[in-house]
Amino acid sequence: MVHNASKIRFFDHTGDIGMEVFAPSLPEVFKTAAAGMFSILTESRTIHPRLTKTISLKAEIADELLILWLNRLLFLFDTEGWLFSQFEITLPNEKSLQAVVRGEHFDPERHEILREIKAATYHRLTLEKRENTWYARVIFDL
Amino acid sequence: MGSVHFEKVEDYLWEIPREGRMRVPGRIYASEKMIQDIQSDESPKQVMNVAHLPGIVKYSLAMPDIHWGYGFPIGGVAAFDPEEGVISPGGVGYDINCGVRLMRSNLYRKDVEAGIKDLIAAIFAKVPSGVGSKGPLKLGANDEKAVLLKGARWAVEKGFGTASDLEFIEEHGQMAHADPSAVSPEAYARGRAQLGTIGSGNHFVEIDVVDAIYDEKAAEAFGLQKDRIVVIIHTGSRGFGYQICDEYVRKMLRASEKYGIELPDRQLCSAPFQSPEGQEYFGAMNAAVNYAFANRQVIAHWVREAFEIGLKRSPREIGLELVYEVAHNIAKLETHVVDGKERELVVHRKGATRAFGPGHPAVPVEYREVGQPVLIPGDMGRYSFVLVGTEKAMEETFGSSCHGAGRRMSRRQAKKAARGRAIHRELEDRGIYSMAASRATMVEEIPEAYKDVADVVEAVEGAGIARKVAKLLPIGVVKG
Repeated sequence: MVHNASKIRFFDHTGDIGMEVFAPSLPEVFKTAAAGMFSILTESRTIHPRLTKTISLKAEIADELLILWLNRLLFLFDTEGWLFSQFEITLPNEKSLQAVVRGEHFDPERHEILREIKAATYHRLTLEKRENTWYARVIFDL
Repeated sequence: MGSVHFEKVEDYLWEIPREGRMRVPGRIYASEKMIQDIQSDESPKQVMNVAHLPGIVKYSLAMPDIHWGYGFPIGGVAAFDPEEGVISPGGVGYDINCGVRLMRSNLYRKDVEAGIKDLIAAIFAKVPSGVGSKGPLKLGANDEKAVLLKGARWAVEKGFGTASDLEFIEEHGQMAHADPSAVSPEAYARGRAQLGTIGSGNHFVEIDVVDAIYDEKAAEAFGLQKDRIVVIIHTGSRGFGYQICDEYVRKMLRASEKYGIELPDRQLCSAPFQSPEGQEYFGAMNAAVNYAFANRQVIAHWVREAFEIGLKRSPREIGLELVYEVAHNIAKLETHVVDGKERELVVHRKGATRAFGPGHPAVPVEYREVGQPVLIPGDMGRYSFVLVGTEKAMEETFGSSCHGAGRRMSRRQAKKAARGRAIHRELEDRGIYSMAASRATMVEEIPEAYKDVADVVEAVEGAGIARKVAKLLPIGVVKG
């Protein structure tokens, strides 16, 4: 579920995919980026928010927290088959994150995995406030 | 980016002169035709960025299949002095030891044509493919460590293939310096279920027929004759490698600050090779290199079994001996002659293949007179090539050559181009039977999404950094 005021734009990067996020707040950036990433992986509407998981993360630099967050979600997909569709984000400060995420485990009967994402990369990573909007740019290695 | 200035050194070789904080010039191997495309891309800038890193020796190099990567360009080769230079996880990539294996069967086109559908179905059933695919292997804690230390040798000891396979794998399928204690519990967790799986994207198992021989002597040494059936396996270290790369990029961001390494792109973060951080990454990366060697050895065993099931023939009739296996995402300690002096170097190959020339002691005895086999897969609809390493590659490119076709279209463009088409039927019309775990993969991997690998091969041959030995035509493919 992408918040109404948040926007996402995908762009081409040869064999890979880039993503730009425009959001009204920093937690919305994290939420929208995660939803965008799962839409690369599968049809998001097929993910039912039936199960809940909590995630806590700390990074040393604010924009690295975004990569840490996205790659943690990929780790949970890869190891336990988690697909997520709802994200509640709290940022006690700009370097730590607490999230309550909802989704379900991959079910080959109902979910088609469209493509593998190896990782969210630091290449041309951007996370910044532009007047009233937060902007993020992430390039995924596919 | 037309702003990057190129100078032609000779046919098939272009130089980007030093400017700003570049420590060495950049050099790109490409034909006149290709250089136009390359110039319009961001990748020359990435060649320049790599030239900024401390301890880089001679040139920041790129092969003709260069394209825009993240940090290093895909197709990049860079060697660093181990005392003054760095090691960079971004110079290896997420899929550590992604590589290619070629096996030759005792069968010919006529023996397989009628049974190709059964054969592909048997491989599809036997070898797990697709995103999130899990292998049937159950590894104990001791096995997990043994895989990381022993690589393909672990697989052979467990009954996957034979000891003679190891003679024909780069580094005998086992890198020294692997350090399982440098591997996080998360990487272990990610690797646990994925050993013996192909994955997705451009990874595959392919059945090919030898279509043309260009170098009789080398082809004979490699056991390749016209119409012979061969198998190509292309995969790497799966989530195990991705996790290690991700974690160490983060560590290297801190290390770059600590050691005052200026980074034109954060994904180029590095540490001095001899620093604790550098050595820790080297140990973890080599563990992933060994994981990938074991992965391809296990998959090869299942492919051999699938041939027995699919074609109802005995192992002796089938054969499937290893021709060679190469790594194309790796950093290695190698000895090269630089300005007349032998030096040990940390050679990074990111989407580039080792291509050692005749006489090199690392080339198997059987091939030493001709040079190391260099395996260049093309897209799934056209052809692949077997090349051989040359003395000129030893002199100019730290014994390296290209690794594949390189993408031409983005995934979105490929999807658009494939709209309304039945890709597997089109392939079948061309005599290629295919099965894939995901429809999206087939669409995004359409043949025209890639450059013509023949152009790439023409450029490396023209430059003299590898020589054509044989052309392979696909007749069956299993994709993730």
